[in-house]
Amino acid sequence: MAADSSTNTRLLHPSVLASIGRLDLVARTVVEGFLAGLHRSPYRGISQEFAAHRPYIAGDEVRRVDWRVYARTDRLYVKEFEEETNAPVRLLLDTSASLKYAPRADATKLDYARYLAAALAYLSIRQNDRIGLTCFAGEVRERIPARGGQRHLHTILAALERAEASGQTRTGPLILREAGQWKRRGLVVLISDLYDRPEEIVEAATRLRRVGHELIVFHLLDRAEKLMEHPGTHEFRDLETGETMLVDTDRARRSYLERIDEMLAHFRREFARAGADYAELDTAGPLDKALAVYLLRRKSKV
Amino acid sequence: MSFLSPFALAGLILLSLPVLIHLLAKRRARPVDFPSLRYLRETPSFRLRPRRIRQPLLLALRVLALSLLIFGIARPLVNLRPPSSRVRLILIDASLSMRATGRTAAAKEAARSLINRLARDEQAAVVSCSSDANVLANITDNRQELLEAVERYQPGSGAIDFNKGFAQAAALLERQASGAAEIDLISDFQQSNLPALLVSPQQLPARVVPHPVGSVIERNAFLLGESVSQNESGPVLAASQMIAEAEGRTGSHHTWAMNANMAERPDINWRTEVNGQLTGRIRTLTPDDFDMDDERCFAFMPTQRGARVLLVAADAETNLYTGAALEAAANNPNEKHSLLTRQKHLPETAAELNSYALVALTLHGALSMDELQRLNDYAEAGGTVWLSMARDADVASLNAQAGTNAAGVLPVRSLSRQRGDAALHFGTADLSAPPLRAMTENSFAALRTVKVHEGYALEPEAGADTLMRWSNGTPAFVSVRTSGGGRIMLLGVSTESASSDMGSSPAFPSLVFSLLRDALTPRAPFSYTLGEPVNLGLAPETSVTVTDEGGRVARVASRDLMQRPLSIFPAQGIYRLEYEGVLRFVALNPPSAESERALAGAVEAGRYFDFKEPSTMTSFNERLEEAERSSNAWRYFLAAAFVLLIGELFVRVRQREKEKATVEEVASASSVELKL
Repeated sequence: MAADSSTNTRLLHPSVLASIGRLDLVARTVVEGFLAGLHRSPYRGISQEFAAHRPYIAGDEVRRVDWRVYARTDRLYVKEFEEETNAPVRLLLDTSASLKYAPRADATKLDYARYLAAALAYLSIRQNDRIGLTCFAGEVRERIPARGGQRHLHTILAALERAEASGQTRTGPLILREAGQWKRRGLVVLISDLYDRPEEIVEAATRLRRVGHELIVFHLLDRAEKLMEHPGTHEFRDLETGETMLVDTDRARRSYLERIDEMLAHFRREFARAGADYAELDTAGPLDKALAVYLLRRKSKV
Repeated sequence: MSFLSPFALAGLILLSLPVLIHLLAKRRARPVDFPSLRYLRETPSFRLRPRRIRQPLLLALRVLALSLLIFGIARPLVNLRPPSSRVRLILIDASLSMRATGRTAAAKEAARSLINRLARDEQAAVVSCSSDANVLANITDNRQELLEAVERYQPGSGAIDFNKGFAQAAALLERQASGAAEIDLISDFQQSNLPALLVSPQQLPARVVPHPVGSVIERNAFLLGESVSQNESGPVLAASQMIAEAEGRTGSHHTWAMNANMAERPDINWRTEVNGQLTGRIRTLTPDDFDMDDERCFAFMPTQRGARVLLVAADAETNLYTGAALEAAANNPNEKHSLLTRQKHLPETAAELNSYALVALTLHGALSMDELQRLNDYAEAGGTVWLSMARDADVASLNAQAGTNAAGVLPVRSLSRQRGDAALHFGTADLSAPPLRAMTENSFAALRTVKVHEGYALEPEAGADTLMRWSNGTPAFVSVRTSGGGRIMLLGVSTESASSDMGSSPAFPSLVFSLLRDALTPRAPFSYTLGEPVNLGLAPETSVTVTDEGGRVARVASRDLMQRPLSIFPAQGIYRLEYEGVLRFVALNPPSAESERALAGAVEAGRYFDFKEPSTMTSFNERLEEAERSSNAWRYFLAAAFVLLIGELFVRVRQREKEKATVEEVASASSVELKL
């Protein structure tokens, strides 16, 4: 089991996913691989709508045995139910230029964000959730309303394929503007590196929560970026503004790390205060953490 | 500290490399696309400060290691001995023989070599030495000054006198406060001069290291012993030619009849000067390898007097005894004419006196100043004056005249009458003196028996010779040579019977004969050896004008001619001297000892100096050995460089670890990990 788990985790790694290429396969690989590592199905059986009976197999919960059928047939059957939730899942994908950051040759931060969004869309469709997507930077670049079904999944995956990282972002106002168009409350998943004004982002999160939306914030930070793994002197170019700066990281590292730490602490504190889930994701790491966070939140809301 | 491979020090330029690397390399920043500069901009020390040395400890280690590496490759010579001031006195023989082919250049080369090998803490002086010592460069550590002094070295024409050089070296060393000293003696070391070097090491001012230079001359011909005589046809010049070869020496005597009608001969040039002197040059008859001594200068006053004798005698007894003795001595039995002239008074003019070879005069009373001057001029012109003290001589006047320089004719400072009450007679005689050389012991023994009734004790002046003494030891007969080759003699007794029985002594004619013989002897020319004191018989302060053959004029004091003759007469030639209205030509010739062709080798020359004794002065070879020993220092330099490089590596690793630890510390300190 442990071997399987490690294998599945490896499959969730962005460098492996990048070699797959097609986003639908990536999403499927991620989700199936992730789910295969779990002991218990996180979503089958938690819906109220009956789907079908199937023979009991070892490992099924005893409480899910249909005793009436057992009385009639003297066999153990388990009841299965179709999930049914009306709460839409809306993915807000930051496609600003800062996500072009690629400390390694295999994948950019946008790639990671794309895999994550695809996996979440796939997972949502598997759960019969409605899924929507908004790609934005300074303004909205792609908006797909929340719907269900396999065809809609392909629409979303195609939109993700088209997404390109460019421009500067204005995350906070844009979230609020988008939220103004949503008629139903649902789950909002923000995928961004949050290189914007933190107070605006926190303010937007607070107002989302206030009107009843659930919010998960996936903060994309690469290890190299977070720990300044660029030893020596470099001419740093801001991917969004084009501004350049000559920095001796050997001297600036400690101070930089302190600033990053302050920033992360701030987001952690303020999102918690707002009631939003906040997860910092290392874009050099596997996607399982993000899926786990998502499923936990999803389960708690259902 | 010096280096065996100093050119390797050019590698010190490489020291700029680490500095440049530290200054520039880190500034060659690679471009990095970064998501946002927001947090970088907020760091207070993010900017790269221009021209700031980064990691100074690493830079110092690298520079030091590179320096040691380069110094090690340059092979340093580290002298661990305490520094001491050392002085090398380079004493170069500047005598005539050093002018032989190749010797001057060899001496210069040897001196240059010594100077170029001077250690850093050594000083040196350059002194040239012949008959006189000449400081070419005082004690200094300025190599260029020393080398220029060597270039100024030129051998002269004098004879070598190493003792003068040693004395000069001692004078120089006295001024030097402390430190070891060594005399490097550069010479051809002629064997004929070496015996004069027999001085004990204690007398030497410092350890002497001989440096022989020059090759042996195969054949050398030179002249010596020139003299002049008179015959019927005129003056005759004579000289000996010596030829020194490997087989030994051969000598031949040559005469040159100087016929006035023949002004020039192939082997002799001569001329008559305005004062009547004959000056000129004679040359060796055969060519040789060393032609610096082939020529010999001469200057002499030709005697125009024959064998004529003048007797000035106012009294009969002198006329009788002295006249008879002079007549017997002067006259040739075959000649009809007597050569003796008798006069009662001194002739009125000096020109009359000049026709006589000898003037005999008995002093009665005193001489007038005019008479004294005439006799002086006559003696200066080469004549011989024989004065006898009569019983009635005016002692007071004569003493007064003797005390004045003007009356140079009297060869005494004072005289005093001596009564012959006891047994006053002649005591001793210097029969080797030229005037008495013709006397025999027996003759003088007979003269000693002469009874003296009243004689005069004489106190000879400086430079005068005592020919005879009274039995009480006081001088009885004194003589002095004049600068013109003449002689003045004063006998403290006369032939008067009241004075002594000398006139009737059978030994008296013998004495007169000897005196006349000396008066008629050919005069040596006015010739001096270069470096030899030239004594004109003048007061020390007397001004003398010296003109050489090139027309260069020098005004010097008479004392200088005695004390530093080589500086006034530096080279062979004929010099014109003028002093007190007198004109005189003198010839200066190189010393014949310098014509010695045989040279001593280093071993033979070394016997004369005690340089085998251990000395505080290290020789060049010793210094080389020391340098070889200390040349191992390069190993230590390289080892130190290696250690520093390891240290540099260690520091780099430590810094890397520290950086890594800092990142880990910050990363772990920050609670950025997600807590599920």
